[in-house]
Amino acid sequence: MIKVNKIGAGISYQDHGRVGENSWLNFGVAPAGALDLYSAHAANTLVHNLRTDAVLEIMLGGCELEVLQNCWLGHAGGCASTELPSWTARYVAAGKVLHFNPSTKGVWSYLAIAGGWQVEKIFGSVSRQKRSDIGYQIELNTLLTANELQPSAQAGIARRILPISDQRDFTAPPALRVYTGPHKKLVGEKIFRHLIESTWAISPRSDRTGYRITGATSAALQHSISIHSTPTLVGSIQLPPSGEPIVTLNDGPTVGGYPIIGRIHPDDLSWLIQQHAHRPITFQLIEHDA
Amino acid sequence: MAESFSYSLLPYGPDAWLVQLEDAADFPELLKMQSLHSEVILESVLGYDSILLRTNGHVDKQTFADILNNVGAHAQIEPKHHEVHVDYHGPDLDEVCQATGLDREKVISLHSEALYTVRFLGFSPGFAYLDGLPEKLHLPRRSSPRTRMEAGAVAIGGSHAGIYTIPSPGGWNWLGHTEHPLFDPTKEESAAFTLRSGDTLRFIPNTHKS
Repeated sequence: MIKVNKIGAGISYQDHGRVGENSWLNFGVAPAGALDLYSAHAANTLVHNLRTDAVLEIMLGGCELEVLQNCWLGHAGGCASTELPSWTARYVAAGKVLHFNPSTKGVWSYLAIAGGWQVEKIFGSVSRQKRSDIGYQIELNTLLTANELQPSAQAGIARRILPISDQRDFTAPPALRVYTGPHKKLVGEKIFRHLIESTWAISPRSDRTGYRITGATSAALQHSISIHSTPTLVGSIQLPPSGEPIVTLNDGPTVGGYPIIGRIHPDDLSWLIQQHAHRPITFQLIEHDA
Repeated sequence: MAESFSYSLLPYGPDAWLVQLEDAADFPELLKMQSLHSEVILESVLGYDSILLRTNGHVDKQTFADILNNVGAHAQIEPKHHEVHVDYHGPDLDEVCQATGLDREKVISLHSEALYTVRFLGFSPGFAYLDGLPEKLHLPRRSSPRTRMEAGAVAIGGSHAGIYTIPSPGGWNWLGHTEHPLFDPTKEESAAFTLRSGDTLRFIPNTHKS
């Protein structure tokens, strides 16, 4: 059991979200779920959980958690913690207080507990979606509990570290792979080439609903094309008339009214969302046999 | 089923295609496509004049077009009719009167005498974009959106009518309020949602005098 002493910038329960068999997109329910599935999986793997188990998603830092019972905890992602560094798991004794602090390395961290966090599923997922008030909301002094612990494979071990090759250095992101979106033809090749060939920066106006990206060339992407509301997916790149693209994320609306010119490869979203505001990002096109 | 209407298949990443109608009036064909689920088509999401079909891994365009041509739609869900009672005292009623040059009674009668069809659900859980708003009530969205529309807010935006299902920011013109249940996350699965695409709806003015 763990007590929330300080919430910091924001913490929430997340898992894979309302996708696949649990999807309610056609009813307007945003999928929610961990923004950085790579790190969420890593945290769970460190404590021998299933990849689909609930994790605690920590935004930016400022969060303080007090461990009330001995437990195995795994941490992965961009926040700093001296007690439990990212990409490691430890057997943490009762009484220990864990701090998660802002770091230049990334924006989001994931905390897994052996056995998985015990929290009610709604529409097949524990994921909290604030805008629709779906899923359990963690408050100050909330007690976070683990599911009944299975016999642990880690008995007698005090610490685990993810292999260094599996630890992501989010300060050096690769070019993000982009698929052609449904409205690429509508906005034209010229605008699309600008998207792919420009260097962009993360806008501070970014959150779990979407990341906005800005760039010196955004004027070249301005347009006056309107479309009817079209279904969006996590990773959809929408282009408002301003020429500053919006990448739809897990808590975003399920339909959008701006042309959808691309879609970021699901595996590359982890790199995008871990970027702080003003950090540069670039794209590369995946040629599709369309 | 592809013979009766024209559409384009637009690319949407490694596991999806967007079926885009050439003529938005063919929308009933998209309603049928909602039931195309198979081992290849895992999920469908309706838009205004398009439907997103999620596939089990990548399917190339020709193969996907063949699937759409050869697979018949299964049984459709029977549309339901809903009567939604409204207190017409919304904060934007006067502005709507000014913008349209109609008095309150006329705005209310136009809004409540129309028969609406649920075009698609989106924006927030269970929020229905309703077709059938009389043209005299087609107005642009508010120039600056309200930071909070209440659940049950009956509103109009562009050519659509709608009802806010959860408190949220919104730019539509707010005409009234309904207690009609629209989204209840405590209910199991699909029982949480009242409205479905293809359903019909009429607004009934509450008659008590203010």
